[in-house]
Amino acid sequence: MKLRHVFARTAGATAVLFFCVASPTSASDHLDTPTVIADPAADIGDIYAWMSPDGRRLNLVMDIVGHQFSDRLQYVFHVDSGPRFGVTDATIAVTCRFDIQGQASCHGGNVDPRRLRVFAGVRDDPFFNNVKGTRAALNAASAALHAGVKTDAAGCPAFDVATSRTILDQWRRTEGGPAKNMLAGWKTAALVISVDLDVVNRGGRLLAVWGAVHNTAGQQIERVGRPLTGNGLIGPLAPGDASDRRKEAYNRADQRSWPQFTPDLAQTLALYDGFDGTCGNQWNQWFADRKPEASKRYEVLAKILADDRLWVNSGSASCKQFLAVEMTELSDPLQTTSDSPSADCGGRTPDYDAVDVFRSLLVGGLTSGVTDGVDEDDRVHSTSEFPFLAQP
Amino acid sequence: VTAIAIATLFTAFVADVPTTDGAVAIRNLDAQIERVGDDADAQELLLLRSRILSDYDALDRAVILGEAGDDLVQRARARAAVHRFDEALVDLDRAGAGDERMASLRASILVAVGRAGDVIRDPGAASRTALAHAYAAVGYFGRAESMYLAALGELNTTSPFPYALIHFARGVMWAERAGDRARGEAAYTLALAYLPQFVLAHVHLAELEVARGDAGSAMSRLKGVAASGEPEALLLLGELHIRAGDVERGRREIAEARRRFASLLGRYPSAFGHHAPRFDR
Repeated sequence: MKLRHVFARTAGATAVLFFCVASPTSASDHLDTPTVIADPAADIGDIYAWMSPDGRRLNLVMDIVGHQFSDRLQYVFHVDSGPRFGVTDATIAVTCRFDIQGQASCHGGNVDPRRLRVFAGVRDDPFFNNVKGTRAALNAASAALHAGVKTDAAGCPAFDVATSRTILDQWRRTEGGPAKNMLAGWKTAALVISVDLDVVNRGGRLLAVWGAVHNTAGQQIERVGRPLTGNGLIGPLAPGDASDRRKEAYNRADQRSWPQFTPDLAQTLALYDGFDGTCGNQWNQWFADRKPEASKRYEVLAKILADDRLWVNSGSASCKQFLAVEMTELSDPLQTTSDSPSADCGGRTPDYDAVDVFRSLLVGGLTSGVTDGVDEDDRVHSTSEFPFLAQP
Repeated sequence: VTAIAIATLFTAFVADVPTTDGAVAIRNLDAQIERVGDDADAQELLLLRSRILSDYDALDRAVILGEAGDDLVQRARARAAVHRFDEALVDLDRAGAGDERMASLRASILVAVGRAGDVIRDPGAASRTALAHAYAAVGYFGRAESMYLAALGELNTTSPFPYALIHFARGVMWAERAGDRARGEAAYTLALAYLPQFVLAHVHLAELEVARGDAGSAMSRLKGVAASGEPEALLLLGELHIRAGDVERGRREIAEARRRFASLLGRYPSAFGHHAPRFDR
């Protein structure tokens, strides 16, 4: 049988090997790097961690962009614990693998598997965010910078009143109209684990949670702690390939080398601080030298955020406030060596409006005031009824 | 024989491929397509689906999206996918300079219209894979192979798609341009190790199996992908059934292949016209 000549037909078949489906900027951690965009099973969307209402269990959620977890990847929850913020001396890793039917098998070292309650399956994605409005706001800021807006010694832009108003107005709208949640109706493959507290708090009552994905060679190819760190703070105005390279490095960095990203974060914190037209009123105000020319104004907060872990105060069963542990730490410099817990567990539940809190703190130093116009998800999730996330 | 032995060993080596299972990857691809709906972002996802699963409905949607928007690169990509190469080049010229993806698209189009030499002389930002296509087109197979292998070495993803597509391109080069069927078979086998659902890889591999007298293996392989409706698969399967004495079944399959091919030819004459003689026999 004569072979066909099909080269022309297939010449283009490999021309497009990678693809992207949306601007990743300010999706939580969805679609953050080419590596994970190419395999949605490797792409963590969000990590959630909070205390059960009875205070006896830690609830953990990892959701991904794909609808099914990979049979060749390992999904890991790291739960560090310690006596006070920033200091952890015990850790446990709960590692899950999947078969091709999507059945999960999780273990946590020597932990009795019966102390881990596990769910894995398709659920509604609880993250909500006006992604297009955010992109428009950043574009407005970028345009002003290209037009010559000056920055101070710390890198904070001196946006005028009109520009600031435009940025914040764009942020709360979608294409000029009411804000829309880009993730409305999104489904996700979710890995949900509820674990007995005494399994994870051996180092102390403050827990620091982050999630990672490892390939078959054991290499970490994705990591997430707080929302919006990689996508929101690593080069949001940088050219795509430069930003991608840095975020790839961010995802692959081992925990000891996380501080190397402090300058990246500081640069973006300076940008955010200027969005309300005032530099020096960011969340880090207690720590910073508040003089306008202070060149290292953002360093302390950048260091805190570069330690990209979700902090949970396991001494509290009331979880109402995103970043509560960090805020307790930052609210009074005298407490920096204290082990006083905040009154809230902090962490992150599926109900937190993490986007508004995070950006309000970065822009104006308050937990509200800057909004993306989307205040809740389109579905109702639970913080008490396992597996917590709504049916799709 | 030596090449087949090497290929067998190589295949065994990669049997435990480090990428996500093909079925899982396809499910997640479909989830992405569902998520983005008719947004322009769906185009590349749909083209990928059409390439690996011979899903011509996905191709239709991708073409419609490309023609509907005002993004010249997307339109060029759609037109290139259905071999309207001259129009695609005009679109790319109007779009101006672009990134590696755009340069690679341009390079692939130039190769397809017989201007591989232009790509080699001035590769610009084109990817190694695009450059490999160019070297393969002008008969520099060793250099093309090096480029393909380098491209594979640079992949840093757990998606099976790019691995499968590059090995498929290697298979086409070795089997259908260089005349080295053993190396072609090895490459197709590798493509299928990464992505067992890759319809055209099965078809091409089946042709090689037939050529070396293993019609049974080819028939088994083609039966596995006949449900895709790929005309090439149905046509070859029908011919093999007739040859094996199952004339009635073979005729039905060939008739179905012709019907499907005629539909594609009507929609995309540039892409399928050069295959027409095979279906007209």
